Amino acid sequence: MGRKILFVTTDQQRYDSLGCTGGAVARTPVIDGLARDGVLYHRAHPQNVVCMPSRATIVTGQHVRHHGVWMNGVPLPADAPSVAQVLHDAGYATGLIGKAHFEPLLDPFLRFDENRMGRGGCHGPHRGFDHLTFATHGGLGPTHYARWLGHEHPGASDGYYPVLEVGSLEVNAAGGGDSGAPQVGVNPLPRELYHTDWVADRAIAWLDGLDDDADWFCWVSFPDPHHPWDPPQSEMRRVAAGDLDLPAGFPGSSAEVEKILDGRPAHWRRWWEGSLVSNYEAPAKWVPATLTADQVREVNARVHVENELIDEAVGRILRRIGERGWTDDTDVLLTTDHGELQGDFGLLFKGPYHVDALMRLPLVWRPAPSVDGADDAGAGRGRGAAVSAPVGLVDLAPTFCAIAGVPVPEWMDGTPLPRSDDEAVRQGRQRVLTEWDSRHPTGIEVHLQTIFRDGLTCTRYEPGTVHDGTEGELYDHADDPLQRINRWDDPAYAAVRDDLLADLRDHLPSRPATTLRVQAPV
Amino acid sequence: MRREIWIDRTADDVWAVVGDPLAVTTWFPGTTAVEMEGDLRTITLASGLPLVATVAVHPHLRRFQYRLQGALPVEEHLTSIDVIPGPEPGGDRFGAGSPRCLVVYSTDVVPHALAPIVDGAVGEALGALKQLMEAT
Repeated sequence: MGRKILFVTTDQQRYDSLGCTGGAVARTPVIDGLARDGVLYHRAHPQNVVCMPSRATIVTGQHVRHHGVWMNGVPLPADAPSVAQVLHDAGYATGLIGKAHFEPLLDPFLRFDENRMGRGGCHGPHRGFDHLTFATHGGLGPTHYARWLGHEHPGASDGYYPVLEVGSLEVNAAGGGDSGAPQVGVNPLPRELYHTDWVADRAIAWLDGLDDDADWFCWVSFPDPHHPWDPPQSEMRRVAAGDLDLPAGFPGSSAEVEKILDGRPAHWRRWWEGSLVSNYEAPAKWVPATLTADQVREVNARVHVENELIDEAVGRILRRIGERGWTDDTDVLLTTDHGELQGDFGLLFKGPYHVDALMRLPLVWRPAPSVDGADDAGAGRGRGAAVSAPVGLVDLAPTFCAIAGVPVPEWMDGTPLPRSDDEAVRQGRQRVLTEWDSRHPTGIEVHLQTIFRDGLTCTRYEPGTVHDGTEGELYDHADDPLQRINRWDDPAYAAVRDDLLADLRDHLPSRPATTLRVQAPV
Repeated sequence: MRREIWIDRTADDVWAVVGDPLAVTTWFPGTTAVEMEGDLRTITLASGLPLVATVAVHPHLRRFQYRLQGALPVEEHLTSIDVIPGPEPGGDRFGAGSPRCLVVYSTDVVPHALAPIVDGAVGEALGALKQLMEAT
């Protein structure tokens, strides 16, 4: 009998959202406990800051240029490699419960397997997973959750905020709640019917069906705290929006926002003022310059509530694992696919903005207590350790292989996560890379690549319809943790900038010979 | 959007399928039922969504056109499918005697969000049409 793997992901969660990462509002004792008993990563970055490319990286262990899913709406090829298949072939029972999103969600022709499975009530196998049960944001669409909710509780899905605008199919800009913030809704759905608890219930049910001596890999993928921000209204008593401090990254005044954004490539300011829509992931009709302090507080309050519900759901799953007698043999890893601007720079949502709000992710690994948890040199016990070296979501699949005791396939780009900074040094870890390519149907193209190394974030832009290829961003986290000052053109940083750019060129894979087509907006 | 594909069958053979409004379910994946009432065609998609469109058939041009009326939230839409004869054997002129033809599927649609959905489905459909025609 080997080590079992509980892999928990959230969607669009910031690094600073947990107690163990400095969050002071949402109570996350379960995840904090995992960090206390395991390893907390302070510099985990995604390889792309939107869902589908990032999730494709998680399941393949590959950079975006290798798996080819360069933007939302590009389906991961059916024959793409999958860590779930590797684990399945090694004798693991493999399950994915929650949001997959390896294939587009908007699919009226039901062309994609995930949607056919969700609509038809089929649970796999698919991509190496023996069992899949799907849920996503809200109660509509071709998912098992929507099918269940519609069948068992007709009309209940109406309580959710409609993610998309009916007429345009754009991300809905309609305001709600007390502040009129976009994608905020008052949801009368009882907590037990909300997707967070439903996903936890289904994960527990799948685990309950396994033999006591089974080796298993269970990916529990919560759709929250991704917008819409509409947790069960009954739970909103947990956090009073009016009592919240504004986040440190919120500039506070339009003048301050303009001052910050004017020092950056043009798309920042143009999106904020409403003259540019570069991508589908934020409401096209929403102008960030209209964002008020009260709206930021309300969005944050709802995110905090959603994060508490996730923490409690993880606690329920861990309790059941304990009841099965599996705790000592179970590794638990928890992370998210990308971050959320959530008020930083006067912005919400996500897009071609490679800053900590979107790139710095929570990542916790609690090794199975039955193993010593020591790093590769036998140092420490991996308990309460902190790793500040840069790691990526590309490293997760190799880590799962290492836990399972199977060789890391050559097609994986990543390396098993280090359990200490010393191990990270021995692995030669210095940098983590993130890239973005978007081609909006209106013709707007944006292309950027980023390296994080030595406490510096450096981003270069390729020519598109907004940039001419000379632009860039360089932030020194040591004296500018909020990334307010762009040092790209600072002569004092010219040498380090050029060195980072050379490093980026040396380590970013080449573009693939063929570019996969976008087949849906999301 | 514009998608095109060469098919190793005569333009007349391919037009016999493409120009028949009721034959769409034989070559367009994700369509499960079709019915006509006058010039109004209703296709039921695999998701259950009914696609209602006015249809115009132009045999002399081998051009099939349709304009969506619902249920997708379409502000503007027009699709034209042209079946164009390829080069005739031994000559450099294109004509009905060619054993090959080019199928061109062009769509204008608003809202923009529908564009990639239609584009992806059409790409798959043209591949299926080629497979269907060349297998017979």
